[in-house]
Amino acid sequence: MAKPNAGTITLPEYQQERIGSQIAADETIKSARPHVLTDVVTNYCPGCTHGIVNRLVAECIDELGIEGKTVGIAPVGCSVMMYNFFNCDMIEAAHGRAPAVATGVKRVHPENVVFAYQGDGDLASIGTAETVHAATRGEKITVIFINNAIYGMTGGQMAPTSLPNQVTQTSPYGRDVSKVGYPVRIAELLSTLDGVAYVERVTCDSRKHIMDAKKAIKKAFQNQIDGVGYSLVEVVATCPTNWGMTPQDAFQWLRENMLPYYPLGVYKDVVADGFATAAEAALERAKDCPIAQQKKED
Amino acid sequence: MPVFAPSTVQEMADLIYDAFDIADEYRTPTMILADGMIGQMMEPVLLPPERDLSSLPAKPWATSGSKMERKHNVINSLYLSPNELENTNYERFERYKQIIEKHQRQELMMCDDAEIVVVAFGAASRIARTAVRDARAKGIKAGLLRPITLWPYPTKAIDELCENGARAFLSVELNMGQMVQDVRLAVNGRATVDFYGRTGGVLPTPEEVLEAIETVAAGDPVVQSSEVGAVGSILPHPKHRKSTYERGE
Amino acid sequence: MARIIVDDVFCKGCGLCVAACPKGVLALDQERITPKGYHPAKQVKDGCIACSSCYLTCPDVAITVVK
Repeated sequence: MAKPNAGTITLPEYQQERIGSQIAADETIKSARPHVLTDVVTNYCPGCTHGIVNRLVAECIDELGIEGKTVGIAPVGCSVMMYNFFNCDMIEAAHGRAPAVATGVKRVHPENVVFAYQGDGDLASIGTAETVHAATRGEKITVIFINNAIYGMTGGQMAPTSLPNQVTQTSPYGRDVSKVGYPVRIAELLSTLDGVAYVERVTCDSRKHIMDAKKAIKKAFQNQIDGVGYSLVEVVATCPTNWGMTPQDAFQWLRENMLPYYPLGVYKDVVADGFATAAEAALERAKDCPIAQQKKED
Repeated sequence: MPVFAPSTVQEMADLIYDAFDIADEYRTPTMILADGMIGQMMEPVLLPPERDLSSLPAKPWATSGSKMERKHNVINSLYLSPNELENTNYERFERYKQIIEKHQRQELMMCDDAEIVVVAFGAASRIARTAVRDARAKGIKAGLLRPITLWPYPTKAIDELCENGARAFLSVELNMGQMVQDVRLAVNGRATVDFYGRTGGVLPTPEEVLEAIETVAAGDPVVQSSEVGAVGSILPHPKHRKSTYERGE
Repeated sequence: MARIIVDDVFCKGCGLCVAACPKGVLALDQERITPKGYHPAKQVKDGCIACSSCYLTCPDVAITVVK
């Protein structure tokens, strides 16, 4: 079983055989494949943001040393096969129900670090109820939300996150907001809930943004380890195949169109606001409500 | 609830219109039961001509606004009085009886003198069709009953087939036996009922279905008609090769 | 000397690393294909500064950065 990196970076065992001989004895590795990733080629299209975020999650698991107590919940969508890419325990949830499954796992084994990884169809369409309620219940889980404004796996249909006038398989003349309404901004939506400790929206279109995204994901995991509360990171992502663009052009389109609509930034952070947990922040917010201020008899 | 089982893309289109009309006439939900294979198939389709909406039956019960011209309508499902609720249930089942009487639908192929009737719907029926033709070429008096409505089940067709000398029914399905009980109930002991099923998205070849027909023709079926439900086909489960998508590959 | 190694098994030739490299030392190798049929990325000249920008953007974690 591969050990997580601690200090010296080493190749995972399966790569040692394949490319280890290409590294000289006097060379040190600066960046290598995280050990929690398996020796499986992902099913993601070339240039897909999923791959980058999968790696960031893997790096966080390695660096925090939690592979042995991590349970990941995979969604339905392009990342359904995520259970094949990670060496930790993984569950495939029914479409949209990852937060519900994560709730079950976390409540039975609170010592585990439980994360749900979902796309926009999974989290913001069929899974809206599970998402909102796990958040408002304050489940102490980590949710990674990949928002690429489209239903990828099924061939590029319009999603609740698709932009106005965006051309998709089910909006071939462009999304007509007068007929089908507006995209939903999940980060903003969830930030209003007391059960939520941390929400940040990030992206992966540049070196700086990728590093910021990693920090956010790490914080979302650390919050769980510290018992702070529900944490969600929304990643604005590309779908080069269904947007009909090269990976590079897709990131350009993301910069021009998605970032103005889905602004990057922190939408809630109770720790930054000076609270230890979401519960503390909620208590403060309800300071004028007598019943909410009642202390529980132990 | 009426359930329609298309076996071609054209049928998928046609049955939507039929299902709508039944839903509209009887005020009941209807279902189109396609499967993954037919749903993702491409075949040429001729769409039916457009119809004028005024050709649809009038709906005096609808909540479209009384316009102060009639008593107000209420659409609900809550009946607090048990007697009222029981009466409503009986009314519903009278309605269902009408649908069962008038709207059973099926296709029969080579059934006039069939001794062994293969019963199959949807994608399975396409494979069974070839197998039945191959069986006939080998001298076996096989026929195909293809239910188009799965509810109401084509029990009248099965009655006729039993009366005309069918001695064995073989339900061929792409599942572990979801329809075989319907066949058994309809046959009601007048003939043997056997099952050949494959699952997981594995499609049997016409040759494999023919082998099942030949097994029935030899009069030695493994699953007896007295058993309810069918787990285990009449042919031994074939050994498949392992999935190519395995961890570490 | 700082350089990168690309693991052919994973590389899908998406070109994001080529675009991300601030020193322009990467390109897709048109002379070879990987087992999955892609043209893999390759360091085609000296000048790598081990900034790991390529590693950071690679969706398939195909790159190892050494120095």
